[in-house]
Amino acid sequence: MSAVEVLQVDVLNNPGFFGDPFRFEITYEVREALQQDIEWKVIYVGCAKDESLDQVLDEVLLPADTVGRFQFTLEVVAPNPDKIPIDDLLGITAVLITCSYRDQEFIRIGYYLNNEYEEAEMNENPPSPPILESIRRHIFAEEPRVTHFLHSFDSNDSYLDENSSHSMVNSYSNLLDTVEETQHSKLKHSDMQSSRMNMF
Amino acid sequence: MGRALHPDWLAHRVRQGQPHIFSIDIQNVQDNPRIATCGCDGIVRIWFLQSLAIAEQNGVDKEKETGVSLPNIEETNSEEHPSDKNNITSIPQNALAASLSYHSRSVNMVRWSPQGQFLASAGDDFLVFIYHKEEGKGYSPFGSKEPTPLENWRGRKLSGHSNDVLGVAWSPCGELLASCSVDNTIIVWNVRSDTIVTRLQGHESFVKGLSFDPTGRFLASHGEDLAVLIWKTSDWRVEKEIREIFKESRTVEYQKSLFYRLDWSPCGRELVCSNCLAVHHDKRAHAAVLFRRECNFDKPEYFKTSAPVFCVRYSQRMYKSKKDEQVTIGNEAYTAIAMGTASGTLVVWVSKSSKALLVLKNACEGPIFDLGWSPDGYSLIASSANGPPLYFHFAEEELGYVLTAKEEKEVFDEVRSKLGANYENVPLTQSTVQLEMEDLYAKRIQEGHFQTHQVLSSQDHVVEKDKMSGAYQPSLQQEQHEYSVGKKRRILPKCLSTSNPQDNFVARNSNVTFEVNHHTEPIGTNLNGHMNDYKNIVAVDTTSDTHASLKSEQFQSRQHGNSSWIKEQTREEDSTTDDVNFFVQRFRKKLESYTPTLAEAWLFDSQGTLDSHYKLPPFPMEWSKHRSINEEAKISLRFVNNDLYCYSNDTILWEAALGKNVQTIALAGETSTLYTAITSDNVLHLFSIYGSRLYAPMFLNARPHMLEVLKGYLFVILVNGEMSLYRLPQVHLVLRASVLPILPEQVFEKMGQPVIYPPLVSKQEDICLTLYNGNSYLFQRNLGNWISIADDSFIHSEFFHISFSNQGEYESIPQRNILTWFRKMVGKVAAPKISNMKPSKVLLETLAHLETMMASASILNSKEEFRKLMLCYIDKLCSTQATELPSRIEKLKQVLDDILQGRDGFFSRNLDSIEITTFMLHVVLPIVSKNRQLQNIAEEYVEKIKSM
Repeated sequence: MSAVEVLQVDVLNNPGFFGDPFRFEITYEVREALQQDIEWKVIYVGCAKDESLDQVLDEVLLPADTVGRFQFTLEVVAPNPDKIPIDDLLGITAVLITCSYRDQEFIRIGYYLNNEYEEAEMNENPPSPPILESIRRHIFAEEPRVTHFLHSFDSNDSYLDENSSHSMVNSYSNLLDTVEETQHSKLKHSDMQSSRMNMF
Repeated sequence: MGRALHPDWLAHRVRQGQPHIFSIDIQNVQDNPRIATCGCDGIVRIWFLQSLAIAEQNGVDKEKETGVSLPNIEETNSEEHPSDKNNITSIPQNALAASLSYHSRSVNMVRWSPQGQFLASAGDDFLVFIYHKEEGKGYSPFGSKEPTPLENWRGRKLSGHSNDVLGVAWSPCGELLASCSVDNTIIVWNVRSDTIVTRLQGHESFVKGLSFDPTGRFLASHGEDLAVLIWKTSDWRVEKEIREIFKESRTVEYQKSLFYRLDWSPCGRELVCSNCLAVHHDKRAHAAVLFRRECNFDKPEYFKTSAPVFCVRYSQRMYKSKKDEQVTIGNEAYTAIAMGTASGTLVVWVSKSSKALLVLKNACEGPIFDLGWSPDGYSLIASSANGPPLYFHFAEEELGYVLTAKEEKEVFDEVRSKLGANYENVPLTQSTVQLEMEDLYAKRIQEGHFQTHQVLSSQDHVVEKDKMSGAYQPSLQQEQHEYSVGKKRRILPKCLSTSNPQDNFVARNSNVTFEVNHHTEPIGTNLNGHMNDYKNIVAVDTTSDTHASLKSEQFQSRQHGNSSWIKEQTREEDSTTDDVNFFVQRFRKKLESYTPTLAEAWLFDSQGTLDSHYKLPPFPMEWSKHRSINEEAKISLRFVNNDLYCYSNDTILWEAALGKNVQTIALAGETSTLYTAITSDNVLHLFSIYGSRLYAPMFLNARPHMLEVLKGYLFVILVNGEMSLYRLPQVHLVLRASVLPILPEQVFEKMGQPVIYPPLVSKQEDICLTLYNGNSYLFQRNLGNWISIADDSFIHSEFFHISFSNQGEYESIPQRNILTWFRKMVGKVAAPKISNMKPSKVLLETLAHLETMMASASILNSKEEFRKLMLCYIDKLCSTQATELPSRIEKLKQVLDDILQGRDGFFSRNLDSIEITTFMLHVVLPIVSKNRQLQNIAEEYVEKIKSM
């Protein structure tokens, strides 16, 4: 079993502006006390086709040495726009929250998000350089994509040694593939809603 | 007209969207039973059975009713099921009780414990979990988009198998759980201690099904090696091996099942196994096979079916054909059994008939994997690999009339006495006294207040005000706090709830002692960056206002059930200004002449060695020069340039000189009593709140480990373990003792971490210390020794789950360990207001633990608690099995004699101010009367009381 289980993630200050910090209220349950801290990471996908452009917005440590339910608000700064290709600044991308123990990830929560100007015209003919203060960010908070990775934590649960044929890990790569497709289809806002429906 | 329903929302899904339920079971409770289901998705779901009945009535599942008129039509094709399976959100409101994602792979079987309070599940992750309900909010697995469950069920892990676990079975007493696995073994667990009782090795292949017989003598298991083994629970040897009958099953190719579920009839007379091939005159037929216990499981009888049988399940009830007549010849009691086959056919037989009562073809779309009967005996539920489960409700006249509890018991007794089971026959009552007592007992239980309050004098409650001062409770984080570790931030999250004791037990086993930083209020402002847990603790404790707020927080979080406690609490807080008077008045008790104790003798004899080898960590550096005394009034002590200053905000209130060339190494104080400092030459200085010297400087034996002023007491522990307690304001030595005897070995490796929490001082001026490991000790001056008053040796005691009632609502308080429970009583509220004095069903309690608890309560002079425990103890003594009875009768008599004879016994001295005869006649003896085997004793004591 997973020693730490995420019960709930609430996306706060959403929608917001591009430069606003991300705020997630995370409720988790420690089911087995762990010897070391668990580490939460927030990753902003700068460009779906280039992993090297992912920005780690923050890494924080949390104790997991007491069995029980805990809640905290994870507030991290907005991504650095200079590191995002100008073509990828607008449109659909993703933000990932991951949690790892002993440097091994055991849960990954992905959210699609959409960056766009409030005025449709600006979206069609984006100004150059982009006016960051006017870009609105909308996280699709109702549609988290949760991926569990098997993790042995402190125990040596023997079922993990086996070549796991029916592991519950579903593919995270799908998420990014979809993002890529979406980004490159250059959809207008009106089409985006429907395309998003396809993605899920 | 039987009614069938296919609730397609009651489902477990795999990726293709197929409902896929491996196992299903209905909780054996009369009041709103729950259904448990599990499947490939690794999730165990709990539903309310009621919601099915409602769905059936509302016709929510339109057109899925199947009319089956009985008994003439034996085969009925149920209609096609709709195939819309993608909409899991269509779960009706209030149907889902819990959605539990503890397993990381498929879950193969779920079973409720016989009393219904626990649920066990077995999975492909080699694990078994046992779930119980807790207070609090339920969560669906995150990201699943399922509706929020109504209840909060928490699981604990049993780990021992080395491959997929295929099945679980509870023993009828609910204390043992057996699990069978692909590793060819069966493990029998003691669920009280979560330990392995035995590992049964006998099958040569996967073990695919198992079942305890209802009399508790046998465990039957069915393996892939096509053998049914019947194990004796007395010595775990194989009583009977059945192989021959199943031999033929191997010869036929058919879809293999993961499960061969078998079951015993409710009276324990018959065992029915699945997956058999009946051979008769070279004709073969799939069948379930029945073995009778009275024939030593030798003469098989077959229930032939059209497809292989995967599961069988008996209704737990027995039936009769004529409603208003006695069970006699002509109206015999009979059983009902349901079978599920590989082709999805459901067959129901009743034992009075040689024909099947019901054959429902295509009851489910795929093979039927499991069956469950409702406790009322009229509903049947079947789960399948494909398609929704089947819920089938029988009408009374179809299946028969369920026997009343009394009739059922008579039948069971008769059958079981024939089988020679060690089943107790309850003796008949011999006198009216017994009946009167039984009535009284029943009445009191029914009224819901088995209260001794009625016989307590009001004076007694005054005695109960057994407050301790300076109570300290480690707190759970109420708010989020963060600081940085190197480059990274470290966040201390807000705690919503703590572990249950079982979890705690697990944590302890893995050598994870609870660390302090979660339980204490963080310091935040006065310490930047580098954080030392020790500081936390003492910071919380010494500033009385923080302390008060801490308390109220705890009251909010844990004790909102009982408003009277909070009132008391508020009163205590208000009184802080009058503390000095308060304590002078309150603790005017004459101090007995002080004699060195054993513990001290040890300290003084070996002081030289102690100093070098046994050193507690020194007083925290951070407080040696600057310490905040009262955060609200911003009062702090500071040592600057050889002088001690007392600041309020940044204003100097007073200053004092401490001597030449000395520095302070410890500071403490309380705004209502005094301030104190220890200097580097180990001299203790005491100042009034206005800065005048209260007492000549005192010379200490060693450097301080802890220095605290706690509501009228000054408390010092030195690094060599010497502990002194002074009563203020007189600065009178109350107690000096060594803490070394209670320190565990490892403590000396815990440098820099808190070892001892600030103490509690009782009304009798006994001191109670709590160590970092959760153990609590009281220094009893009458004994001159430390005594243990709280530890974790009885982790599975139900007193970990003690519930307190308030206005009819039960508030279960999550307990970290017994210590918090103890503190609640002693530190905060003196004694719990246990309004529900009904002796609880001491199922999980042991006599040894109750004895320990009574001893602690007695020493703490917590009388109401003692009485509650005593009643539980008597109840436990009386609810014994016949085999244990002789030894317990002596104990029981000892208790009763003690209560009756006077004032100085262990029991009677805790009952002062109670009217003994009333107490005996109205409270104690009715409890004794519940076991008729003890009726002689009840009578004997009634006579004794009358002659008094």
